[in-house]
Amino acid sequence: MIRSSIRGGALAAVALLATAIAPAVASAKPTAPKPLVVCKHGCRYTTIQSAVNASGKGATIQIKPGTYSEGVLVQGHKHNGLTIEGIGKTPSAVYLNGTHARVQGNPAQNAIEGDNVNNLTLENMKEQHYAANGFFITGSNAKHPCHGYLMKNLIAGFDHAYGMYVFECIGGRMTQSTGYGNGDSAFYIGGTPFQKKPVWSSVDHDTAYENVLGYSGTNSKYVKITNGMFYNNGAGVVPNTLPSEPFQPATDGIIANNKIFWNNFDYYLPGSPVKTVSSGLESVNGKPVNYPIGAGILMFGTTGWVAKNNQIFGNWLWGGASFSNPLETSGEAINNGNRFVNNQMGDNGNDLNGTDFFNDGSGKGTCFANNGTHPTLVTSPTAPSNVLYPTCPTTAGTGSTIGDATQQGLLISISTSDPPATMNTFWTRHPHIKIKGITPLGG
Amino acid sequence: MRVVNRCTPLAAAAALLATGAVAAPVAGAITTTRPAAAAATAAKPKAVVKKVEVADDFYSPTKLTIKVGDKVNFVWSPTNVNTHNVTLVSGPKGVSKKQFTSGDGSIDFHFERTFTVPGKYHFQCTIHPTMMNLHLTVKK
Repeated sequence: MIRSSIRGGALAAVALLATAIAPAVASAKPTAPKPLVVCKHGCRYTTIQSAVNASGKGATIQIKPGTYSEGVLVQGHKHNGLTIEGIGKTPSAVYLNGTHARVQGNPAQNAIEGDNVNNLTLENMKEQHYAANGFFITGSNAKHPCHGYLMKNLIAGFDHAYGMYVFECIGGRMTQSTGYGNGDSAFYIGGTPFQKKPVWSSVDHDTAYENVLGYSGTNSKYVKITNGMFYNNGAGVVPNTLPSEPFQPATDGIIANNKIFWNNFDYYLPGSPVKTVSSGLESVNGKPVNYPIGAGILMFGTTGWVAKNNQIFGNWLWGGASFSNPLETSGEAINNGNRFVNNQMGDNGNDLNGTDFFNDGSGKGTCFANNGTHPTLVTSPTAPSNVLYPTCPTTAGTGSTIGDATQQGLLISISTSDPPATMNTFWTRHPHIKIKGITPLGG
Repeated sequence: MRVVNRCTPLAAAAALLATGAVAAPVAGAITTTRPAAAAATAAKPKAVVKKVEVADDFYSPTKLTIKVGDKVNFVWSPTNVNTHNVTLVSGPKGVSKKQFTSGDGSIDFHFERTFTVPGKYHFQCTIHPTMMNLHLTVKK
């Protein structure tokens, strides 16, 4: 409400100013292209797709409040710089509903997909229930990534896999957006090409709750995840390395100034409104390996990711964890040079994590510093704590994806829990603090 | 489309034939005009439809041989997490890559094409290019 009134006031002032000076500048300044306006009745465009088809570079499409049942495809560089924005007072006013939306005989896969488009802006909309993802932006292929995008003030819920999904792109921003109920993650940036002069992406001031994962990024690089809230997910923030996507491994990420709490959503339990779409990352003795549930941050086979200045509490398995994938023979998914520094763990004792940190001792250079006076650690009888949890900087670690046997045995036991819902038997439950407007999951 | 739907398939086919509206088969034509096409090619052997599964993260099969006039129906697996596509990377001269390239999909998705030009076709998922490749041979 405050934002709306401020914005309204500012717009009014701009309008008055524009009226006052209009005669003086009218002949000197070229007229900006008119936006293409979409609405259900009385507009030239009654579907978003029809406006996209009519748009060119740098165009703006404004969508009036209403429910739109379609899957929109923005394809090709002819749409570079396109803005698609809802012009309702809130994102929910412009609602893309995937439930019965169809495209060329198939269920609509994405609410809006930008394929091979640079600097696409998607703003102030809500979508739910799409067969694949909500808002999806991708490059043409590994050799032709997209360059830049903005996803702002979006809401994405109950999609098959991802709410806001970016693949094979260089630079971009997801901000002030919310994702919930997604079968993989609310926010995803993955398949990031290697760059000599990296253009970083930003995931900032976002909220993710009741997803399988809050943030996931396979082979995710040059990403700053800041000032967000990740709560009531299966796990909060999970950069990871997998061979299924190009450009292994996940490197160079920063997770800072976030609140990451209560990620104890056991979506394997009967009756869960959200199901994971994953059938397992690997398998061990015929059992699928699943992501641990109850964790704040999981750095899975990442190199050079940093978690700093976060508030991490009430995650009943681990607050933060770093480990390799010893099952992946390429050796790319290795726990190298990750750092947990200056994080506040367990809300000063008021809302404890099951254990604050887990490290499998693999890789090289992963370290822990200034995370409170006495962070709790998952210890091993076969490796001393100053080797598993060295302060920064360090050269500690086995140097390979094979770490301490006890730690990796525990990790395998948790992630192959059978049935997976019993993963919660590894939790240490603690009382939660109260946070207005949020109810913790996990019983 | 609605006008056609009110006719019986045979009547629609006859009407289209009478007006000469049925064109020669086009490589990659979407098979949505079945009644007309069926009538127009009645004397020819029935086209075979081969299924290719599009799954996380593979095509199955990865090699396939068909005859000219056969169809391939790419069917996305209901267990998929990831988004995939079918993109024609290389094919016989004169074949439109765009016409043989699907959209991006995850589940409840299929993409069917008829192959009228013999030769070798290489399809790839551009999102998973190292893991998802199909080599298709179309024989005369």
